[in-house]
Amino acid sequence: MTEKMQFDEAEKIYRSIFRAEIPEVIRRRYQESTDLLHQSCSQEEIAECEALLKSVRDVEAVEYAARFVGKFPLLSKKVKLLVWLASTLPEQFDVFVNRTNRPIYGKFVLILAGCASALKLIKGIMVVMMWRRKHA
Amino acid sequence: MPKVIIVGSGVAATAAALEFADQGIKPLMIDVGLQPGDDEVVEKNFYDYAQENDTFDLLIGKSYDGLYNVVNADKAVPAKLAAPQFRFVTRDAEKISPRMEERFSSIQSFAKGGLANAWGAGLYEYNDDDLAGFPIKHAELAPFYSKLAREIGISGTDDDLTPFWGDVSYLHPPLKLSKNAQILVDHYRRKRSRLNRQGFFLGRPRLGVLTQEHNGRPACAYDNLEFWSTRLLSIYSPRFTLDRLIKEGKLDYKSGYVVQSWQHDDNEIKVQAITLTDNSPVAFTCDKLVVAAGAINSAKIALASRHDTTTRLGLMDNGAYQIPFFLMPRIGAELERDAFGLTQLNVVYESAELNQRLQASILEITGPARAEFFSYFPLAARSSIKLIKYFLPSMMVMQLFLPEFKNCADLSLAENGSLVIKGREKRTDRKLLRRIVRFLGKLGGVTHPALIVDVKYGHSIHYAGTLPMSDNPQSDYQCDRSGRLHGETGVYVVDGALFPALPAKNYSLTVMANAMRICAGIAQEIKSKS
Repeated sequence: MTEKMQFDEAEKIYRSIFRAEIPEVIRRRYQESTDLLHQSCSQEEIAECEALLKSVRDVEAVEYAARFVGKFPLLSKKVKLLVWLASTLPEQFDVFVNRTNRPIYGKFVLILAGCASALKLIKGIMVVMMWRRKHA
Repeated sequence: MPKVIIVGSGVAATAAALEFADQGIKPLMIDVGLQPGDDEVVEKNFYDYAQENDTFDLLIGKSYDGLYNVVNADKAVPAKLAAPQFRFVTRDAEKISPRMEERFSSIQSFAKGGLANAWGAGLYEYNDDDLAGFPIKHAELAPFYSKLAREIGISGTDDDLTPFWGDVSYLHPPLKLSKNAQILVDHYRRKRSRLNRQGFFLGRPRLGVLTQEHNGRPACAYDNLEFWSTRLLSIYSPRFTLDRLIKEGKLDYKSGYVVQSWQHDDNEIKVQAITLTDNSPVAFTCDKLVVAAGAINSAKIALASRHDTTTRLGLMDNGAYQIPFFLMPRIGAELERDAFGLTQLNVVYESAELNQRLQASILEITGPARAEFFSYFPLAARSSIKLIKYFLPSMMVMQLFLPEFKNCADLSLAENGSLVIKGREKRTDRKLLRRIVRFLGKLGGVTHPALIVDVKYGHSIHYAGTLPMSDNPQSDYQCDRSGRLHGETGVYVVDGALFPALPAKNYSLTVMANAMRICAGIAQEIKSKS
């Protein structure tokens, strides 16, 4: 996997989850840590994940569906890895840590999160099925 | 004066060294002795720091150690052991002591101070009920419990758990409760008599965490660095005692050696070791050998000393479950930045019907990285992050420990010198778990049996029973009540290997007190002969 491909991959996952441009430092750390991740994966697994990431738009939906049906574990690991890396930046502090008491809003957000996940799951399953049909 | 060698530097070895020092005997400690690195020092609250600084070095580290559980999901270790500053605790363990394991996942440490470098610091006395099956009584351990309390500084209080925990005279005040824990306590107070009738008791833990200055160490600063800094002096580590004894000239400490076996040579005991750097053989001689390498490695050394690759020794570890739960009123609450990030409360459950006494720790989860919880929620990525932000402040985890009266695994030595550990099938007591879930419900906690995580054998890290003590030892791998290994002269075992049973209560303080009891006996024997 070339450096450019890893950079593009990081950008795509990051944008899908955080709806923002990936900071340079995260891109570099992602590259170094995926090298570690790939050491315990087969070439087929890496290639399959790479092809999937290249062809799909909504990485979040696909990862969720894949996690749900127990497929593409490498993709889930890559998403997790990027979340870990992002969580170390001070500019992401407010994404992970609640600094004000908002009990009603908090409960509302949880309901929305559940609904959004359900929609993502449906979309993800359709995309994965189409992708598998195409690559069968 | 006869020469005494202590093998290892964990809780048992440290307690042994402390007792010898008190008796005026200067032992030699042989240890692998891995030490923490020269890591970044954070001197403010973790969340205040994270708000302003890149925490990559602290949470993940330049070698990406913090991502160990992401990369090796199938070999995941407890979160604290994956933290960069705590990686030294288990570093090179598989290389130093190779293992082949089935249905058991042991965690070994070759660090100075052992696994206690990353412990939860729960320190409890065993009462006579807990010591059922042991050849000793609480009264024999009592003076050593007090001595250890003076060395360590144990916080706690007199509450509903005092009948189970024992002596309150040496306690420092308890740690401040988190807001979540306070809600549980308030519910408990209201329903106390009914819950007590059902066998449930709630109270404060006994922790080796300071709430006031003690022996030059500061009180807990509630800075949420429990998972990220090895330099928190408020949480006791055996390293503190070892460093003091070395500095005061009361202990000779040699690191960089892996002890392999012992042999009797004329009137001496020859301890065979290899160097960590190039595996060259080195021998040390002594008159008394105190084996304190931990239940697994002490057994390995005993088997290797007898060139025994056929005997299978029993091994115990507490069965455990992790039960996450949340408190409805705390959803959407501000993250409590100054909550103590380890055990907040303890639960004791006595059930005549189940014929056992269980102990549980209720943990605050402000310590681990927020990203650690990302995959805990069965939701899409963005939704999971929302849950981390708004839901996590309402969450706590109950760690339920079960007593172990039978061995949960067999341990033997392979021809190539590797350890072979074969665990038994673990059976889940669903009825018990349902009761625990109902109990949490009465305290205001919401959970479901489907969310309970069955902790695999080996991950409680309470290893015991490989060389058990008995009033009447029969086999070559049993010890007498003085810790002396059957059939050996001058070889004593002082660690968890000696425990013939494993109550649900954390055993560290009792391992230490028992090691001191045995070493007091050795010292007396040495003095009477000389």
